[in-house]
Amino acid sequence: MNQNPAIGHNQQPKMTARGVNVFYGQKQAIKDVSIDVSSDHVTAFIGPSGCGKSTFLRCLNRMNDTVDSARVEGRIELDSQDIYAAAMDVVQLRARVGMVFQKPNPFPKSIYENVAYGPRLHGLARNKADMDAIVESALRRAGLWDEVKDRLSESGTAMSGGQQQRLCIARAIAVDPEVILMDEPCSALDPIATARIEELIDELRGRYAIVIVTHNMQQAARVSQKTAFFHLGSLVEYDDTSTIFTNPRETRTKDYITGRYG
Amino acid sequence: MRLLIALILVLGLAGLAYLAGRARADRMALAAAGGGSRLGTIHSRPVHHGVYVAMLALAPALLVLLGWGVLGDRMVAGQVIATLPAAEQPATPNDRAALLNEVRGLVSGDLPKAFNPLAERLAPVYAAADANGDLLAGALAVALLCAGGAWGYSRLRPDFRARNRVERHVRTILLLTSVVAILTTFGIVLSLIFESIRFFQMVSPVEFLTGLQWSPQTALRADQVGASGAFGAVPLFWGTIFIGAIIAMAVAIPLGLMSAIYLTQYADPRLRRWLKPVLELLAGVPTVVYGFFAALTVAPLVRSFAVALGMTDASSDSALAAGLVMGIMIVPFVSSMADDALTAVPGAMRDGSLAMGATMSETVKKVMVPAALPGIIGGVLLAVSRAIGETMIVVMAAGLAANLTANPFSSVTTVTTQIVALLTGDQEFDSAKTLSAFALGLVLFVMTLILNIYALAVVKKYREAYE
Ligand SMILES: Nc1ncnc2c1ncn2[C@@H]1O[C@H](COP(=O)(O)OP(=O)(O)OP(=O)(O)O)[C@@H](O)[C@H]1O
Ligand SMILES: [Mg+2]
Repeated sequence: MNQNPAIGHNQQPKMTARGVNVFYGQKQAIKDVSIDVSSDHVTAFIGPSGCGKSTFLRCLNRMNDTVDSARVEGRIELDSQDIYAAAMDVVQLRARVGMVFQKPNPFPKSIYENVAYGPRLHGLARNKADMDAIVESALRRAGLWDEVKDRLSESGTAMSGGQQQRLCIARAIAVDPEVILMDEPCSALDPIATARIEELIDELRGRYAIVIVTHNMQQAARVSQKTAFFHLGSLVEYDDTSTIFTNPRETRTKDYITGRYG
Repeated sequence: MRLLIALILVLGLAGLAYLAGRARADRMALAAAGGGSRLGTIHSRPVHHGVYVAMLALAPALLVLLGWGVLGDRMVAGQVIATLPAAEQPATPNDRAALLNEVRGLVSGDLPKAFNPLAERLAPVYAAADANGDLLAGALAVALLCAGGAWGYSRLRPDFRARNRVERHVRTILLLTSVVAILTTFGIVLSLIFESIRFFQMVSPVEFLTGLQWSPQTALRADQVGASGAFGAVPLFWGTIFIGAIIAMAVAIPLGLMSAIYLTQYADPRLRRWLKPVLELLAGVPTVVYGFFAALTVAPLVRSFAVALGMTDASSDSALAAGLVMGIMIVPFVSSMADDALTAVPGAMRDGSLAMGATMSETVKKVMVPAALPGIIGGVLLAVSRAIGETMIVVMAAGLAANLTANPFSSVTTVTTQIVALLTGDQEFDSAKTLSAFALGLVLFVMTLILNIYALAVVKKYREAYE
């Protein structure tokens, strides 16, 4: 395991995790993971299926709270605030740390209402014009505006899978979060839709801290600047993406990347 | 009794037919195999050959016995009456029925002595004809059984596809049983329609469906007061809707929906595991028990509440009492439909909303309930159709006064209550009063049918949306 999780940083990391353990009932899914996530770049989580990538990702916005059997230990901070502290408001945390799921899950509402959902919840718009502006800018940043601007009142569930996923991204960025967590956002999409999402991630980089879980090595190499390799619940190696893919320290990482391991 | 013996005999013989068919197939199999493996030597297994023979034997015999059981009485009666000389033939169908009743009473021994001397004379004739008929039917059944069995037996060959034949016959039997159920329902509806037509010959449908006055007392004698009844059923329809669709739903929808939301979204799985069945148990409480509760507990409470509000003339029967209790009765129904609808909403939808920073109740209100709405509405519609067909509670707590009022403390009456009132007590069977019950029943049937069809369509469409 990497002894210095903060390598390559000269500024304060956006999120830091120290000594995180996650249990589902008796079973430990995450073992002593420490990692820093910075706003400057995209961080990719890779690793074989079942190694705990999603579990760890869901710790970062406390979505594991919704799983009855899950128990999280250790310390996770957002801007140096402990997100598991009693003083932390989960609702606010999730507004600051947005999430995009593996399967597009737009609400069965209009496209407009899907994007307006978060801003309405958190009271971000004072009037209709405000809301229109928020919706338009979120859809623009998600690269969806030109495709849907004439049919904002149509149902969000009636779009193609790739459009739905971009709608979910628009929905997540409409509340101007600081971090965006993406759990295999392209696994249900075809290569063209995937390319659109990857472009989008690239455009969003720098504005938000982005963490993306992916099974696709090329994707990790293309979109991320930092890569974390998980194996059996532990963080094996965390480094610059170029280093991980060209010159990994650990043989386990090398085996996985070169396809010698599951 | 004689028929029962014949039935047992027929079943026994069919059993023998089965054994015979099976034994023959066994022998064929052995012969074909020549001592080697039995597999593949005959097409079907011996069991199928046996069942095939038994089926062929049993079917015609059972049909004969069934036919005789249904029609036998009538045939015997006709035969017996025909023996009378023309002068002594009963004059009206009523006389005929009365005479036959006495004769049957005498034959069975229920009646020690008849009033009509004719009955005394006919009784032995009847007994003889009946015995004769039973014997004949039994003999015919056994004969057909033997013939069918023998034919089936003769058809058995090693390559005879008994298995496929049996399969086909099983399908026919299943079809027949479902047809019986459907035909029965159909018959009920037809009888409703025919009696309603008779009613509508006396009272115009327009008056029935739009009249505001309901007092079905028709005079027995021409000079009686209130000689002509009024058959305007609007107050009944209103009462039905007021109690079943308005008051009851005002109770059942919030309670049912909220308990479903609690059970599906908030409750600990362990709690849910026993709370849900308990709630559903409520649906098994006999409605007459709810009726008690409505009449003895809720109605007096409602009345004293009304009095406290200043309505000194408040009735002890009230729409509110009946509607409240009916609402409680319907809660499990609404709750379990809403539960299904909410559970069917994909968990990803819920997670999506929570991840946006919504609280659980915001998620329920803005995402879960809207997504489940068609299913919930379907459930509510089914519940309404149940409520308006419900009888016991309203009979016991809502009263009989056909008031056209929106005051929940006053007594109103419903379609079902009136049907009960119309058909209990002494009445000529073809008076407008009695027949109006059928017309009411028909309207109720059509109403619930439409509601059910619509509700099922809504639920189905909604299911498709998620599958
Ligand atoms: N709700 C849960 N209850 C119990 N165990 C769980 C739960 N969710 C995940 N696990 C277990 O935790 C471990 C890590 O699961 P996780 O979903 O985080 O893996 P992953 O790396 O995201 O896998 P994949 O690449 O297949 O998505 C697995 O062994 C899984 O069986
Ligand atoms: Mg995963």
